Amino acid sequence: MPRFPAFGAKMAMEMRLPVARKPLSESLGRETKKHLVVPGDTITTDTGFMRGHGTYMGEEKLIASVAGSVERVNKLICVKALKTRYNGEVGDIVVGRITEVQQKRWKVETNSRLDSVLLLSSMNLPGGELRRRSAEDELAMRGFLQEGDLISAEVQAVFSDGAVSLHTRSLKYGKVSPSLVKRQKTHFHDLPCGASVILGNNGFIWIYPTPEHKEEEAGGFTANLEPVSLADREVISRLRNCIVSLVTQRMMLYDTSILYCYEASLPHQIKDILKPEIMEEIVMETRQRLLEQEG
Amino acid sequence: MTWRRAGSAVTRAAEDARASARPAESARASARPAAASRLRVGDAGPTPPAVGLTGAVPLPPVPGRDLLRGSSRHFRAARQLRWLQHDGDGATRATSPRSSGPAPSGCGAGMHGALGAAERAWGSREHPSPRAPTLCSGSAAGSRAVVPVLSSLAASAWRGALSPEMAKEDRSLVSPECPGGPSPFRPTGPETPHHWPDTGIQGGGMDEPTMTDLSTREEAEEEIDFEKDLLTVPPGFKKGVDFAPKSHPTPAPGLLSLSRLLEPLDLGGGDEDESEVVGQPGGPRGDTAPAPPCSAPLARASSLEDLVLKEASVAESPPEPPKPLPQEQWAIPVDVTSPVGDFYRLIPQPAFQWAFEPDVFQKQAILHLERHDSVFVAAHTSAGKTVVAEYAIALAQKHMTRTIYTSPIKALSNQKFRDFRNTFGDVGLLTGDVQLHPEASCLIMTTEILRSMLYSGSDVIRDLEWVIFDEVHYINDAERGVVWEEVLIMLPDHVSIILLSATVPNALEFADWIGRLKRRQLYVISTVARPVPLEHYLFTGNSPKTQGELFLLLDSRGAFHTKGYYAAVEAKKERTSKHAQTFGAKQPTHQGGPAQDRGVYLALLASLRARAQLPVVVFTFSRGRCDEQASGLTSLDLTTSSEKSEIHLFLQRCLARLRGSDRQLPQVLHMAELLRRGLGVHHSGILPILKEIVEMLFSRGLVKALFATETFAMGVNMPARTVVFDSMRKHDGSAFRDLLPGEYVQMAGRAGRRGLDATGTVILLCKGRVPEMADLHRMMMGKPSQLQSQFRLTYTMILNLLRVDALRVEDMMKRSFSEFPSRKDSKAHEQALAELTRRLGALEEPDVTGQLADLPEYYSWAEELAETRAQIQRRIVESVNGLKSLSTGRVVVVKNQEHRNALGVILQVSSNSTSRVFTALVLCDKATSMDPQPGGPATPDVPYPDDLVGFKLFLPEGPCDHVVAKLPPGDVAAITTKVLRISGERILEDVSRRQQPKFKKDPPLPAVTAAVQELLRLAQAHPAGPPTLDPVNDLQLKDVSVVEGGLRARKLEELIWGAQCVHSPRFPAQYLKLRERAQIQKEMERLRFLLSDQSLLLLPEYHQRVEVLRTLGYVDQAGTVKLAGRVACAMSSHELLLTELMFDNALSALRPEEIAALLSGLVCQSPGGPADQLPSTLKQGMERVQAVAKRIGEVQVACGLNQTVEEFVGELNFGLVEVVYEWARGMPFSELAGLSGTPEGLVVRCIQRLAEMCRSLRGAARLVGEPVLGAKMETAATLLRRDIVFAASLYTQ
Repeated sequence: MPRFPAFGAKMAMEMRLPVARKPLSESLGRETKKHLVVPGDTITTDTGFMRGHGTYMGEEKLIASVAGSVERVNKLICVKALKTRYNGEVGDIVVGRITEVQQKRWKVETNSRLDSVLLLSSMNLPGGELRRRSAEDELAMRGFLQEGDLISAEVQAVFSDGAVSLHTRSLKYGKVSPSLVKRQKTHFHDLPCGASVILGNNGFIWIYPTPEHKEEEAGGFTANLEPVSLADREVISRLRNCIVSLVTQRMMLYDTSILYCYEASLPHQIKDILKPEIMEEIVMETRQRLLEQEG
Repeated sequence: MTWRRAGSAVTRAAEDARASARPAESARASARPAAASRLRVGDAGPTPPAVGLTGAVPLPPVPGRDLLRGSSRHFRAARQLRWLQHDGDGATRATSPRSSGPAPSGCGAGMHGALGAAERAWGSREHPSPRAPTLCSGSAAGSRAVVPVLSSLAASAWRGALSPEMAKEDRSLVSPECPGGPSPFRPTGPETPHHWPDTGIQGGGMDEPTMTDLSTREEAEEEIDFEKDLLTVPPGFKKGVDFAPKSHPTPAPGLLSLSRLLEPLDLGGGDEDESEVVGQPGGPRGDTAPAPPCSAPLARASSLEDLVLKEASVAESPPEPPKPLPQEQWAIPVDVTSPVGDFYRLIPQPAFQWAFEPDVFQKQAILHLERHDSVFVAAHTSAGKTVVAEYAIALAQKHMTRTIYTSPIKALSNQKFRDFRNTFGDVGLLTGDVQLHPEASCLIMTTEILRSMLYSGSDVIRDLEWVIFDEVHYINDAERGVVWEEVLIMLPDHVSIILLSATVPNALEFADWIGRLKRRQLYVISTVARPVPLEHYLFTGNSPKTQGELFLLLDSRGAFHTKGYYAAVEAKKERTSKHAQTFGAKQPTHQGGPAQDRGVYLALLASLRARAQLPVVVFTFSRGRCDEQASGLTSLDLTTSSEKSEIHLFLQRCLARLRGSDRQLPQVLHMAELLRRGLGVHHSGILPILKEIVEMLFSRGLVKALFATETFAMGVNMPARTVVFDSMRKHDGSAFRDLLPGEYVQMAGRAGRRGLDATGTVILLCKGRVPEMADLHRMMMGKPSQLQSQFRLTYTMILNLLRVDALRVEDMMKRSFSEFPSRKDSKAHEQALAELTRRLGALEEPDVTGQLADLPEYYSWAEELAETRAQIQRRIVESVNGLKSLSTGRVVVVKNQEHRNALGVILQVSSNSTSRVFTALVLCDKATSMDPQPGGPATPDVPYPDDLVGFKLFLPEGPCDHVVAKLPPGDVAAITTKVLRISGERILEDVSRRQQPKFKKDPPLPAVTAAVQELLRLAQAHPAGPPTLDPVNDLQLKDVSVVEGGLRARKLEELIWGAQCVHSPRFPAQYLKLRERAQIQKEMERLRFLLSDQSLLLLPEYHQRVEVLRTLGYVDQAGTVKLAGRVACAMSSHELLLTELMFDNALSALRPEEIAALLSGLVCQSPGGPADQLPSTLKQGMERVQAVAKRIGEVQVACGLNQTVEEFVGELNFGLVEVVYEWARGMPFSELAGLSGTPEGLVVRCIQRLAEMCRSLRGAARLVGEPVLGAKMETAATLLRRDIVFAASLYTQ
């Protein structure tokens, strides 16, 4: 419901009447063909199938344990949850935030059920390819990464989840459901609009200005803390709002969709993008362009 | 000018000179001797500038006669130095008159001077001793490195100075050369006394050399090689003559090699050498005078001259060229012939030390390891490659980094684990089934494990400093070689690589590949010869009587003795004939098989035992024969009673690990019995624990005779006194063949224990007849096989690489060793491409306006027409009919460099089918046949339509002549319908007769004239070309390509006739321009192709395999790996089949032991069908597995891979299904043996691999979230891993 704060002398005020929220399925359109289930739904009674993630066997029946869409690979059936914490898989790119500095390792929040671990030994340290394993490194750990730092990393193993480190400084990051991040060959995108995006498989997204020099930085891990120009910041904010709109409208996130959405948002001011009508409008436009491109 | 200043300058000089060569500390240290020697530094130090600034005044900065007298030697040195300075570079200008001390820039000159001196000394090797002092004082100016030498030298000079005669002599020598008297720049006044030492050298009342002594010596000095040893600038002149500039290195390399040259001189400390000098003040003078200074500080060099000469020679023929290496050379061979004299100085604190002195090659390797270089050590067997590995491990421990040691086989890993653990302690072992201390700083693993670590980016790689690849020649293994390449390609750049290999002929090439891969230089160190030489014998004996029939074939120096060979043949022949005559009952040759073998071996072992040549390894190439031979020798007992008890105790201790019933296994009992008698058997059929027992007993010298297969020769340092080859033929899986030289060398290399035996004995048994000498020669003396790439694409590789974007599959292929020959020129190609692009840019665009609009088309038509015709012609000449038509008498049109569409008649056709040559009589101009006219018919540059389309026949303008030409098929432009009736031989004879000068004026025979006349007539009759044979109709070439080519050619001809551009007057010029452009473009395209991925040999297969993965749903269209693909990545082998089985739910329903039994079909290697008595679930399961395999096989075929479905399904082998099933159900191993004829060792190996597979399946099940299957696989693995099959290796205890 719109509220009425005190009018400032120069402050523009927007008022909006409540509207019935449109059911998502309408806007989802053609994707409704998917076999959607909720927990407890029987997926199949055929016993010839293998149960995968998100299912369980009960009374000779395969039953969904999460809400999501059913996926099948040969005889394997699993349910991919629509909204979930992140389930790590080897090779995923994730974006996470350091939560704790421990002995020889960092704890990283990556939106998964447990905190991820980044071992000191599995990280490229500044100042050399080959590091001696010494106590100084352990003492200096907080100097490399400290609580609150954002990192992007690759999942290395999944018994308790591990990770590898990357670099660059953060500006903003959005948090989306991991199910909306499309699994791709690469998750690092330099968008032509002047910013780069890391779409973490864990649903965290990192937007940052495209580094100017792209040559291999052998040392890895450089914390570039120069101020970012206003223009760059505007681009980043716009991208962020676009991604938020895409997520609100349940669109898959990948380089093309983000770029189209960005382009569609250009007629609007950055702050306006998050208004529901505008969100809907630009996402619709994006969707159409994507359809055209595919069809 | 003070000596201090001079001294500091000298320090600077020294530092300058050796800025890069080595730390200056040692130079400084040696340049800090006690007063006397310091003074001498000062003495010599200022000389270069003094000389430098005058250039003409030959006086050194020595005041007064007294001084002069004393240091005449120094004058000479200084003079020498000065002129050398001119020689070295024009550095005289560098010092200004005002600089009283040597300016830094002068130092370089000094260095050159020293270098020049060194070279001079080299040049004057006949009179080395008198030269040496001069050299040294010269060098001293440049570097403190020689200070010790100098000081002692100076001391000797001083001794001379104290003798009046000597002084006189010196003056007489010096003064004529010093017409200018004291130099105006000469230091004077109070400073001068500093040149004089106040030490008590005078106290040494020394023997005075007589005048004659001296003069002869001086004469000798003066008489030294006049060409090389004279000053290059006469006294008083500013410039001189450079006598031998070519042989002198240029200044830059000179600097470099000088610093290297001086290093060894820097051995002794200053104190040491001073005391030497002071201590022997009264040493004899004369000819031996220079000796003391040399011998004392340079303990390792016998004399100064030797040392200097040698070093100079090194500088002149450097093993490493001092110039910066051409960028494309990555492999640098290291010279291991000369000893590393300065080893202990270069590495004052080695990371590891041995009880023995390392060999030269080991020292060289260690030097490079210290520099963190990658090395490739290709050494003979038992030369001591492990030393290099050990040093790397020690170095990594010192640096607190990690080393990974990979070996091709698990057994070797276990042994190395024990060895290194005993040496270093902190050692871990990772193999398929064992994980010990994975955190250790040295990890031993199989190459496969390292590969999977690299694929998953394991953090073990992070602090890795060294990777040691042992037995790199295993890269030739067809099945597993690819793993080595993958690992080498994927290793991160910060890791240094150590490759250990047997001697291979193409070590350099291989090293070059790796160097290029890693963009760093790789040092190749090869040994020259085995440390223990081998002697090769033939043995023909077969009974106690003939046990001495041992014939030397190849001695330790590598000379082949044909005499020995013939003696062996004789011995053999004699016996056969004797046996044939006597046909007695005692004829072992007729009893055949094992019995005969027994005779041979009894005789041989008795003979070896008698000559103390045990232990012996007998290499037999089949497991069965190995067993037979060992079991046959029941009567033989080679051990003493004390050895017996030792063996017994050891056996008891080892077997105690086994379960009760396992200790009673027939193989265990049998082996124990053999071992007690000093015999052993070692092959893949033996239980692993028994193999280890045998190995351990063997290395303790308790196994006297070991019967082994080739596997024993791989790795593992287990030398014997003698090696015996049961035969020189082996079955390599497809056929019987002679041993390859590489295999022979590898096995024979087991002979000869270092430190115990002077030579190793290799004996080849001649049980049948004596092998052919040529075969023996090839096998023993042949080159070992080259390292060859066995690179192939595997699904695992593709999936793993698609998953990450760090490395593409294309890159992997591009970097493989198999692509190396075509890729190594890529830099050159890139340069060529750039050059061509530049040239193309510089070219004028041809004008294609107006009438010339169709010029480009015209050009392409012309090119295409020529190509089509050439192609058709090639087909014709290759075809039977075409050849038939090209017989003697056929009239053809000849088109090549000399002849343009000239008519010719074929005289002769060579019968060689690969490179056929037609000899033909061809018409030509009178003049051109003598000397080709410039601008004559040799400018067929711009083709007009009638040039292109028809054959505008060549018509001689003047009087016609003929020539006999040998034509390759390509020169025959067309075959006419005409056949002349001629006699080819007669014409040929006539022509060749007239080639001789004597008959030159003779008129040609009528036959020749007639033929020529006829050709001429033909040419005149058909100026636009005679009717030719139609390939399709006349020659019956109904080939599609020929027919289509003909049609296309006709079409092109029409197009060419219609071209407008030829009518333009500008046509020729524009055409030439166009053609130049087009040719450059074509070349560029070719280069681009070579540089692109498209030229990769394996690219088609890659696409096919990706297509298979796509069809099966492992990757999507964009190349993203999907769930099934990720599951496949988790499999250690048979990734597709296992994944499909899993997703087909073929396994989940079965019990764990059934799953294990079914999967045995994938890992089993021994042939044999499944047993009949199988539970029905297993039979169904087998059918299902086969069906899945068939489906995959079909997909592969559909995608174009050339592995047939049958082949793919045929890889399954259900021979051990029952055995594994029963084992998994808990049957003791002793009962298993009855179930199949498979040797125990193979059963064990199969079950081990199976357990590994179960584990990877469990991981995969976890990945897809199927807990039931995961639990089952876990159970299966536990069921399999028990008792003797998984008894821990003795080496890891």
